[in-house]
Amino acid sequence: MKTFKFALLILLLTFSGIINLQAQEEFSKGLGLAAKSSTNGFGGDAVFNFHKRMSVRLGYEKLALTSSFSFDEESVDYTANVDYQTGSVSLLFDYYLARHVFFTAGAGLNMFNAIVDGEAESYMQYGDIQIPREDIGTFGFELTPSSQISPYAGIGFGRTLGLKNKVGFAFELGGFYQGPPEITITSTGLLSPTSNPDQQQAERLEEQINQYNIYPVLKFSLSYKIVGF
Amino acid sequence: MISKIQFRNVALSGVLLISVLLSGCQDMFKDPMTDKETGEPVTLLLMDRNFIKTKIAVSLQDMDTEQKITNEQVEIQFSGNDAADLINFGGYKNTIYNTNAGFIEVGHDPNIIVNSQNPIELTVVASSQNYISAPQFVSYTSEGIKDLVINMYRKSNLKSANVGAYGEPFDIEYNGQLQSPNLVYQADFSSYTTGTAYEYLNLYTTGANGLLVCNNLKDNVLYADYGVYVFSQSAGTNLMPPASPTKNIALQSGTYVYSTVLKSGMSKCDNGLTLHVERANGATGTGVFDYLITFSDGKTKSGKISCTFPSDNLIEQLYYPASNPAVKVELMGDAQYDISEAVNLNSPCGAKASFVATPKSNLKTYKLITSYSCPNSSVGISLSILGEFRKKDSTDKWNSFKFIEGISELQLVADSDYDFRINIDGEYYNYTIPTNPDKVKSYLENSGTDFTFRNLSVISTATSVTIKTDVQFSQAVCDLIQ
Repeated sequence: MKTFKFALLILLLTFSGIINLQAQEEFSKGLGLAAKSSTNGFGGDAVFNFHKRMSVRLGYEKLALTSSFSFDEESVDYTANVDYQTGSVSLLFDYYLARHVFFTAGAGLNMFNAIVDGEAESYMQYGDIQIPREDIGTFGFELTPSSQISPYAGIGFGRTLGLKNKVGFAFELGGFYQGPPEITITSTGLLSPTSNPDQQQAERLEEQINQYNIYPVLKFSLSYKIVGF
Repeated sequence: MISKIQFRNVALSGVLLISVLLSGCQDMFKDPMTDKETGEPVTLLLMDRNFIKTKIAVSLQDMDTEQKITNEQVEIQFSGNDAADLINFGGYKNTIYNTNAGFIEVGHDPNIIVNSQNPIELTVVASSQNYISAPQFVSYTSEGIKDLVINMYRKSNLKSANVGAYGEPFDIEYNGQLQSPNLVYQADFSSYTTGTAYEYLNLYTTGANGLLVCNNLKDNVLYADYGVYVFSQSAGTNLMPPASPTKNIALQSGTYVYSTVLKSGMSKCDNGLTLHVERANGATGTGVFDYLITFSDGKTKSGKISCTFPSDNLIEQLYYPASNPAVKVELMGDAQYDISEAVNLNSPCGAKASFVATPKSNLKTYKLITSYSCPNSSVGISLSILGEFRKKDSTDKWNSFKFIEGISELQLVADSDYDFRINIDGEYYNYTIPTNPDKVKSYLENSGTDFTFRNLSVISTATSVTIKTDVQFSQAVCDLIQ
C-alpha cells in the first residue's frame, strides 16, 4: 500500500511539474560544489545543473557519534557504549517543480551502522553468593540496514546550485528507504542465551524496530557555482 | 514568480509527499523499547541461570517399592567439609533441606572450584516420620549435575519384634549384653551404600540409653575392619561415613545403629568410570538414564546420570575386588530413547563405557524453547533446570529431562497430551502441554493469573515441532522465585 502511495505521488508530482512549470528565466548550465549538513551527516555534493529544471548531485556525507550509558537490571549494573554511524554516497536527481521548489530522487550507498556494546559492571548478588561480573559476560547489538543500496526521495526548497547567483541555498526533507533494520547479537557468559539462535532474540527485536525502514533526512546545503557555461 | 496554478500544484505536491512520509513514519514515534503486543518493556537481554555449575539432584526412593517418596515431609541433612557451601534455588546456603515431593535439587556455591584436588565431600542422610535412610558419603571431583538416589526404608516395615544382633560377623554388646532387648534389630541394610569401602550390614535401634561395644570379629581374613555408624533424628550422637566406624560408643535411646564391615581385598578407583552417551550423527537431546555396574563379586552400584548429548558422566566412589576388577556396565533406556547394549570392561578405573541413545520408534522430536521475565524488567531468564514428564493422566514412571538455557528437545508421541513438572526447592510445579501443534497454540494462548505467554510460535514439520514462547510471570511469582 505504501509503495502504491509512493508511486502515485511521483506520478502526480511529475504531472504537475509538466503542466505547471513554465520557467521563463534565462538559464545557463552550471557546475558547482555544495557543503551540506543533514541528519545523515556532514559532507558535500558535486552539483551539475544541466537543465533549467534539472540537476544531478553526487554526494558524500557521514556522521559518527559515540556515547555511553548505564543501567541496572536484576541487581546487576551494566555499562554500554553506543557507536552510531550514518552516511551515504549518493547520486540524486533534482527536478524543479518551481523556481525554488524541487523534487529529488535517487539512491545511495547507505552507511548506517549502530553498535551497542555492553558488559556487567558489578557482581550479581544471588542469595548468599555473588556471581562475579566476569561470569555475567558481555553483550553487543549491531543494527544495519537490510538494503544497503537505499532509494532516496525528498522535497526541497531553494536551489541546490544557484540559478543566477554563484551561491545557492537549499533546504531538503526526505528519506532513504533502507528496509527494516537487521540486528546481529553477540553475547558471552551468562548472557549467552541472548545470542543463541534458538531463542530468536534478534528476530524479536527486529520486529520491534521494523517501522524504522525509512531513514529521515533533514538537510541544509550551501553551494557555490564554480563553472557556468 | 509562481502563478496561482503553479502554487496550488506545488502545495498539493508538498502536502501529498509530507502526508505519505508521515503516514509511513507514524510508527516511528512509538517507543521501540515497549513491546508492540503487550505494552510491557521489551526483553533485551536473556540471562542463563546456569551459573550454578554443580547441582545435586536428590531423589528419595522407597527401598521396597522403588517408588518416589511423595506426600511425606522428608528432611535431608548434609554434613561434612563442604555442606556449608550448598545452596537452594534462590542461592541461600543451608545444610538441611525439606521436600514432600521425593526430589530436591541442591546447588553448590559456584565460586568454589571443584576438581580432584578439591572435591566436594558430603555425607547425606534422609529421615522423616515414616522413613529412614542410611548415611551416605558422596564425593565429586568434577562439576555438573550429580544424580543421587537415596533409598529409604519404611519404618512400618521394621521388624521391631526381633531383638539382639543377628547374623553379624562380629559381636555387638549393648550395656554389656549380647542379646540386649534395648538393641532392636530392624532390617537388612546390606543393599544400602556407605559411599566408602565399608559396607552396611544391618540396622538397629536403641531402646534405652547405653554403651555399645563391638568385638570378636569372626573372620579376620574376609574382613579388614568392622564397627557401627550411628544416626539420631533428635540431637543425639552421630557417626557417619567417611569417618571410620566405631567399636565403642555411648548412645541415647532412639538412635539408629548401622553395623558395617570393611572387606579385605577391595580397591578404590581413583579416576572413576566415565559413561559416555551420544546420539547417532551427533544429534542433540537430553535424557536421564539409570545405570547399573556389576562387579566380579556380584555386588552392584546403581544410580542415574543426566545427559545432554553428547555427554560424559563420571561415576566416582567405585570399590571393586582387587583380585578381579572386571565390571559389566548397563544403561537403561527411558520413554524417549533405547540404549545400546551393556559394556564389559576389564577394569572400571579411568575407563570409558560408551553408549548410543536411539529415539524410540513412532516418536516425534519436540523442541521447547522458552524464557521467562518479570514485569518492568528488560532481562529475561533462560532456566537450566531438571524436569519430568509423562503422558497425561497415566501412572507411568516420570521421565526426567533437562532444560539447558531454556531449551529442551524431547521425543514424544504425536497428538498426545503430556504432563510436565519442574521442581523448585523440593516443590513441584505442574503443567500440561499437548503435542498437537494446533492444540498447543490454543493452550498457550490461554494465560493464567500468574503468567502470560508471549511471542508464541509453533513450527511443525514432518519430523519435528518447535514450540517457542516467552512466559511473563506475575510480580507475585517473581518475588517467589527471585
